[in-house]
Amino acid sequence: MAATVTLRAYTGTNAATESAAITGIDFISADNATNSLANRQANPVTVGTNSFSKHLRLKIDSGIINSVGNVKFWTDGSGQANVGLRAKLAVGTGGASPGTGDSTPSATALTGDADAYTYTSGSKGTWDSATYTTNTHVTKALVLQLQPTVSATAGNWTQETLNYSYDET
Amino acid sequence: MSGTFEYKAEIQLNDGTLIPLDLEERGWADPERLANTRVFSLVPKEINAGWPLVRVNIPEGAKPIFKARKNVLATAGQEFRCYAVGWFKDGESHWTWILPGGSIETESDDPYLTRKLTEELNQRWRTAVGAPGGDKK
Repeated sequence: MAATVTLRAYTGTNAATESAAITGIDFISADNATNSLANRQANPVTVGTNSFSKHLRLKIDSGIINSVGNVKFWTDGSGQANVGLRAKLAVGTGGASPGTGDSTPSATALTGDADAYTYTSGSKGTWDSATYTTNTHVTKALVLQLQPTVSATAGNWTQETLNYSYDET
Repeated sequence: MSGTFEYKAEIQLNDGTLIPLDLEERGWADPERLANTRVFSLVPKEINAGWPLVRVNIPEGAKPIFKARKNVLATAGQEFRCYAVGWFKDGESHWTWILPGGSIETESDDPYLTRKLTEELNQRWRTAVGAPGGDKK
C-alpha cells in the first residue's frame, strides 16, 4: 500500500496537542482544531486583529514504502480584499509525533512569515524538504494566520482552497 | 499485487532477465539489483485507465529511480497522483513524469504546473479544431 498521510492541526502549549485527521481549518479567535460553522460563529475574528495562528503538520499514519518527503504548499494566488493570509513554512522539526520546535498558537502577528498568496502552483512553498522513513512521524509545521485589516468587510471570509503535495518513494 | 498506485514496475537486468516489482512493497528498491538494471518500465495495473506504459532505458552506470507525488487540493477534497521514473547518475536525476490522463513530461519537477499547461494546450487544440469541449468562437 502507498502511505496514508493525513493533515493534523496542533493546539495548546508549543502546539504540541495533535488533532485527529482533518480536512479543513477555521481561522478564529480561539485555539482549537474544530472545523464547523458553529465554531466560527462562536469565535469570530474582529477586524483589525489577527486570528489565532493555525499550526499544521502532515502525519504519516501508515503504509510508508521507503520514504515520504518534499512537502510543498500553495494557494490559488488571491484572496479576499483587506484580509491577509500569512504563512510561515518549515517551522520546527519533524519526526516523532507531535514534532518539536513550534510555538504556542496565539493572535500575535506571526514573524518571519510571508503572504500565503505568493505561494502558487507555479511557485510552491517548501513546507518541508526533509524525508521521513517511519510511520507515525510528522513533518515540520506550516503555520497560517488570518489578518483582516480594519477595512475588511464584515461577515464570512470566503472559503480558501489550500493545497499541498508530497513525494513517496 | 495490490495497493493504491496506478502502476507496477518491471525491470530488465543487463543479462535480459525480466523482474516484476511491486512499487508499494517496502524493499523493492534493492540496490544491487537496480545497479544491474538496463530498462525500467512502469506498467499500468488497469489497462484502460488512461495511464500509459512507460519504458525508460537506464544508461550504463546509472541507477533507476521512481517516485509518486500526491497532490491534495485540501478544502476541495480532490486528490491525484503523478508518477516519475528515471535515472540518477553523477549527482543528477533525470525524470520522466506521467500525469493523470496520460500526459508525459520529461525533465520537469513540477507536474502540477505541467498538467495545467497541458490542459490549456488541449483546450486550445479543441478550440482550434472545433472539437467537443473547445471554447466557442
